[in-house]
Amino acid sequence: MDRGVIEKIVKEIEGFAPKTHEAHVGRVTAVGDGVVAIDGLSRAMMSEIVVFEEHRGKPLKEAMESKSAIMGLILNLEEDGVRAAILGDTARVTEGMMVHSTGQILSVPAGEELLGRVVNALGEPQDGKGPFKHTTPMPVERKAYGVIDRKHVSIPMQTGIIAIDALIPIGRGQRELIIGDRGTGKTTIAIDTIISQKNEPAEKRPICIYVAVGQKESKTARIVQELREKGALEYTIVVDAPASAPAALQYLAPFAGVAMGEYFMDRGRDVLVIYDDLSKQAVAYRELSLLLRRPPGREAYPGDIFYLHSRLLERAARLSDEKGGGSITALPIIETQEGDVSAYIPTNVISITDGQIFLDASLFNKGVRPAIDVGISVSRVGGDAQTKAMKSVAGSLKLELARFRELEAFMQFAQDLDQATALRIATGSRMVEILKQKNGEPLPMEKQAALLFAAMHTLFAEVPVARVREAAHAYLNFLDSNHAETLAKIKSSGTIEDDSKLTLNKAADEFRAAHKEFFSA
Amino acid sequence: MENRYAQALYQAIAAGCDSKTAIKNLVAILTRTNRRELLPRIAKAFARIAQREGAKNRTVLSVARHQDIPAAIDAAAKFAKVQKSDVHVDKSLIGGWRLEHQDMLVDTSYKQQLLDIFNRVTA
Repeated sequence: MDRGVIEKIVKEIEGFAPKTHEAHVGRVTAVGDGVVAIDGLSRAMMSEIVVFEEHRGKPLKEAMESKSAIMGLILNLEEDGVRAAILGDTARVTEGMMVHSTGQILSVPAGEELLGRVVNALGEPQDGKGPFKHTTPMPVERKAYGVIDRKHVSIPMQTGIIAIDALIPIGRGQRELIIGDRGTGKTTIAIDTIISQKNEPAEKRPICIYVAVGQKESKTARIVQELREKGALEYTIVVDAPASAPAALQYLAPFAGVAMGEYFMDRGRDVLVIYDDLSKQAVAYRELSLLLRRPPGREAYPGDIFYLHSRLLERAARLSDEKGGGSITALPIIETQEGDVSAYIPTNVISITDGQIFLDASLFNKGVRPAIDVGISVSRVGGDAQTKAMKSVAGSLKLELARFRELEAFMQFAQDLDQATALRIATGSRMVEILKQKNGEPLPMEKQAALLFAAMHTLFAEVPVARVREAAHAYLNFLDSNHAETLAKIKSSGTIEDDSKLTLNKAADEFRAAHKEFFSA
Repeated sequence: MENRYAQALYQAIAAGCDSKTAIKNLVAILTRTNRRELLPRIAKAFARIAQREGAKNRTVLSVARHQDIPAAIDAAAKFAKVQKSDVHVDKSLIGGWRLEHQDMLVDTSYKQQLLDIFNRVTA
């Protein structure tokens, strides 16, 4: 036997004093579909954890050999009993089983030890790397910080995606919805944002929490692998509530994720939480509510479905300096059907968040990736958080692109175009090419700013549209090898100062001379 | 609907109403409202409620050995009045006693204490 275990046993025996356990109990009267009706538990609290007693009447050996205790979460307090969701193996709960109240509200472990780990909605490790040793329990349900404790959003959260950082900037502490049909690249944007944090200095780098709700295990495994390969897993926690998990765990996962984030925020750190996705959480909550016999409302969702999402997303905040100045940035994801953003859950979450990034299936199919529809995407508070460098180069970009989209539709049936229109179309189509980006390759802010500066100063005007991306890539490599100090200056100051502008203009001329292949018609 | 009727009947009887009168009145109401066919289902629901309420108020004192019964009854008296008929022997307790009274559980059994040690050592 392990010496440590022997020592522990000796210590226990030496310190043994007979104890009387007193507990409030109830009995299971009905069980099914992950929900259990319990008689008794007259002092139960909402969201309290209860423990099912499996070993009643069984010998000690059998009780010791049984798996970990089955727990339940009280969700309904009724006149003559309570209803709870089973957080574990439903098959082990039987009618008549005794249920112990714990007097504890559900909490999850949080701390540095969780970084780089994959856990379930209860914070239990799922990656086979062993249990946690030094963690702090954080309540899954907690009141969001109030007005006095908050500060306005002023520091950028770089996603590394030019289209977002330039046109729909996100600030630390913001809630920005990523919305679109299935297969339009919503998760890709979220994962690229996590990977992009690698470009941040380690002391300012946000802790990332990726919450997978109702996803296929294979997809989550692929994401974990990608994060590991890109070196992003070391500052990321993955909370996994797969499609095969009980509805209760899928409903709880986003709350568990934000609870883990609050641990870091309370200690002055910045946190990025991605909820992938809240549509599936809403479906899980609907299932649970119907099983709990709560009255169904629109689309059979319960009456408090708005509150479910609002109380979750309100926990994203930028705290005041007195509170440590930490933040939680929330990127919830919502899946639409046939691009219908006016459905029940999408409209709810749109109204709660501080803006939305809308991904359009038709743009995606046209090869515009990320398929962001700039026209209806918006960031309501991120503008203040944008760096001066990005602001100076992206000022008129959104308008230019909107005009181009309008003309693009017109262009399909127009024969002769006047010179001004033709020029606008040429510029717009080149700009669209520049905003295209491969997944897994987020760009740091200084490179984005330098590229947009070059584009706004007509560097790519003579490059054939089909070769713009290639030229942009070559230009960034050129800057890296020949003008790294200018990029470093933009990065440190956050602005493109006059001398940097001169250098960038000079660099553009040098690039033209060095890469004639892009400019010869 | 039968549950509501059964609940009302149970509450009336529990409050001291004569059971025969309560049933007579219930049948009269059901006849007047054309719901007499609900009677068998109300009877079943009533039986369920009575059983559930009976279980709620039941007191069970478990001991590991016969010879522990008197001492256990004395010790449990602090929490509930226990009759000899409420006591049963559960060898799995190893020692000590365990009282289940309404929605309260008091456990002084050796089995529980050993399980606590086991859980602490293996945590």
